[in-house]
Amino acid sequence: MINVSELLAAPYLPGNYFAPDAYVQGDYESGLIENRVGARLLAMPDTLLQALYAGLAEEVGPSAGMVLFQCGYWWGKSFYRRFQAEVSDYYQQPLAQMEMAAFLQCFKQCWRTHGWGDVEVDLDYSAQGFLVVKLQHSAFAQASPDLNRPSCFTEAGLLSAFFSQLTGRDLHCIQTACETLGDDCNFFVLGLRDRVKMAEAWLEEAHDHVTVMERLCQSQPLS
Amino acid sequence: MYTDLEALLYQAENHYLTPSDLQTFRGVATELQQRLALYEKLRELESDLFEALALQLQSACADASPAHLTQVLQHWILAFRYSAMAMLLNQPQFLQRRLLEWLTDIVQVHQMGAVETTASNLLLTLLVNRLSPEQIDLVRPYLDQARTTLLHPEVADLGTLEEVRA
Repeated sequence: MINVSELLAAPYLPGNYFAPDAYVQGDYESGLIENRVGARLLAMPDTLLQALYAGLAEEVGPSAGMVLFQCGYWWGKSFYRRFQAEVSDYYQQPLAQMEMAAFLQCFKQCWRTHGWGDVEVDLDYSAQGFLVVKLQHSAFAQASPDLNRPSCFTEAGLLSAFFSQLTGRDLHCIQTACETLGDDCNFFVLGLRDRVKMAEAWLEEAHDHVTVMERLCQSQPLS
Repeated sequence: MYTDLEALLYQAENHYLTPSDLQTFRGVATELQQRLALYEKLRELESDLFEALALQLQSACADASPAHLTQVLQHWILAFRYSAMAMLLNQPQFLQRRLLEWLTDIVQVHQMGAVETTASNLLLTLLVNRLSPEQIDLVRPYLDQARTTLLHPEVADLGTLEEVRA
């Protein structure tokens, strides 16, 4: 017997927490934007992103990518903390107990509402120990100079930290396709550091995402 | 909220509204009253409506487990509530953004397409029996929007986060 009155008695029935019109609140007079729990948001204009890339290239040269990855990593740690707190609070259940489909929808909506592009998490390789994230219309890729190699370092760092905290494992993230190189979308592969690091050499040899994934799935962890 | 009204207010910065503008304004105001009355009626009907839906759904889908039926009912309670608000606001985007963009994939993953379709059909039939034709005309576009968006082909079950971690 279904208890309908119990279903209807819930204080509220949660919908799309990250719906843009509900999540982002702005005040024209003060010029501030905040999310629906009152946390301040930072708008990053293209000019600022381009200046970050140019400034880092000038200051640290080839290490700019590593610096951006670390920035993304620290950002990802805080991002996970906020995401976890807000989502658990709104949906009234710990993130770990959320249905996978609901979690993935929240992640996707969150990413889109923050203006970072369209993200999809592909779990097809989870049996082999990898997680693939597909990202389209990346704001960071659009602002990036042409480096002749995958250049979404910030997002790679962010994803690495986010999924490491989510899974409780130290996961590394490597980008295997990039919009700046003419690919349709950006692909990121997450896995244990030893295993996913092997992809770097194949990317140096200009192999595409599909080939890299095939090789990763056949590979054994480095001893 | 109301695009017709917003357009009128935007145009009327420095002049009085024309007679035809005022007619439009009156029309929107009258419709708003109807929408408000219907919203209140839907709110009052909700409990009886879903009690009846639960009973009919249980007999129509006897093979489905109570847990699955509860899940499907939850989906349609959500769709009903958000449709009611979208109807009041006269804003299909409200329903789309606040619910359907998020719920559609979840409904598909549950692979309960046949039960979802039965529930939505029963809900509509129950409503038709309880509302006037004018009221049905007001709310139906939103329920149809929810039905069209949610009842897509199913995809594979992904399990829970804990299962994937394990």
